[in-house]
Amino acid sequence: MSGVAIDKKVKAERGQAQSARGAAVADRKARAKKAAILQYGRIAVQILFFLFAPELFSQAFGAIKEIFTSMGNAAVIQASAFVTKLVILCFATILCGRIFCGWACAFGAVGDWIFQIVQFVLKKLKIKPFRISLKLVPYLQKIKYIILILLLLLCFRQQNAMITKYSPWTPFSLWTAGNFKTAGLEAAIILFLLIVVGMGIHERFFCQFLCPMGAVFSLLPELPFFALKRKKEECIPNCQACRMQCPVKIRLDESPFADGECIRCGRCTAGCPKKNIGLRHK
Amino acid sequence: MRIKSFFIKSVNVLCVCAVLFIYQGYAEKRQDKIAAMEKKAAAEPVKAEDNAIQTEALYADGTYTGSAQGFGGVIEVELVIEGGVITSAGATNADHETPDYFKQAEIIFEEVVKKQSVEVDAITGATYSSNGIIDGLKEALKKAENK
Repeated sequence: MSGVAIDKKVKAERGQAQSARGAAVADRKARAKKAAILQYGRIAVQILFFLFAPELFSQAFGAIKEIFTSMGNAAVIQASAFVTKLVILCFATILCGRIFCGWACAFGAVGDWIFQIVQFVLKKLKIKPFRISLKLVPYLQKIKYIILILLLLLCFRQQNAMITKYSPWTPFSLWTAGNFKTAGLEAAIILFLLIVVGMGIHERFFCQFLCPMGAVFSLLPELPFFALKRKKEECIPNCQACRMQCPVKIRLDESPFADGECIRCGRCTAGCPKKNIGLRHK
Repeated sequence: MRIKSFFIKSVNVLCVCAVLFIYQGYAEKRQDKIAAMEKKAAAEPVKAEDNAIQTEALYADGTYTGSAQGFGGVIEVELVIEGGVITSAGATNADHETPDYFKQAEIIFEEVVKKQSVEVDAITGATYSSNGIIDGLKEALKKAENK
């Protein structure tokens, strides 16, 4: 082999490697762009809902409270406006999963903003953020069912006044409605502040661990048409990219134990290095 | 796995809905029974007169207003007393109140007229609006007492 031929071969190989690297960089850039579009879109939708329908989550749960209060009272269940909203949200969840949680809930949106701000500040201060162990998360996610059962029992026993007094949603709802007269709600405000701290430490702390409305949505069946799917066979062994991106720390279709946790933020679709996750896969 | 979980959850939801429907049927029957009994009781004239005399002694005729803090803002209410009986109760200005909750709590006005008393329970899910209406009506009724 002559020197020229070797030179050519080396050059060709180098070129190939370079173009492969270039493609990888371009691919990463495209994914980052997709992720940014998705997340800014989500923030925009969240802001719209926060401005025009900040009460949806508590009204929907108010309907559930109404139903159980009526039942505890042996009274007829009234078809109120709240019940209508609850039914609409339940149908949306059956059709598209917990899309309400990820895109429309005011409480979740505020939680997202708090988390982003706290993480930004920690990064600036170069403090390593505290993380809840991934092994613990699926178990903590079950707490919300206990809270749901307790609240329903309280409603059944006609203790609504107590729920209103201690619910962290009460000060939040009053504040978003522009009412700052929150005398007598000290306990609720302390609970709310604790949740704010939790939301800052762990993304979607309240939504996945504590939210009784989230618990109800988690228990609903989800139709597969608009569900995110993962091509498991094509995954890189032990890859955790999607889980690390995920606010509720799941890998899609991995365990029925975490079924119903996905809030359809869609971050995993852009975060997967093999583009394995999407609506049309499988 | 997805299909199995979908199936289980669907069955659960259907069960819950079925329970609610059955319950609703019974509750409606019970409500009709109570309504019939109340009608019977109302038909007895002696009792109704007693009520009228009692309220007459307490409140002077006229239109009274009151206002109180609701959920998102202040609710202004009005109470009409004729012949010592509360004949109507309603809001004069609820523009500052969050509409969703106010709508939910509006039934209180009817209840006050029906019960001839402002000592009524708050509506579940609209506690603040309910209390706003009740407090406003209490204020109005107090004015009727003082006259």
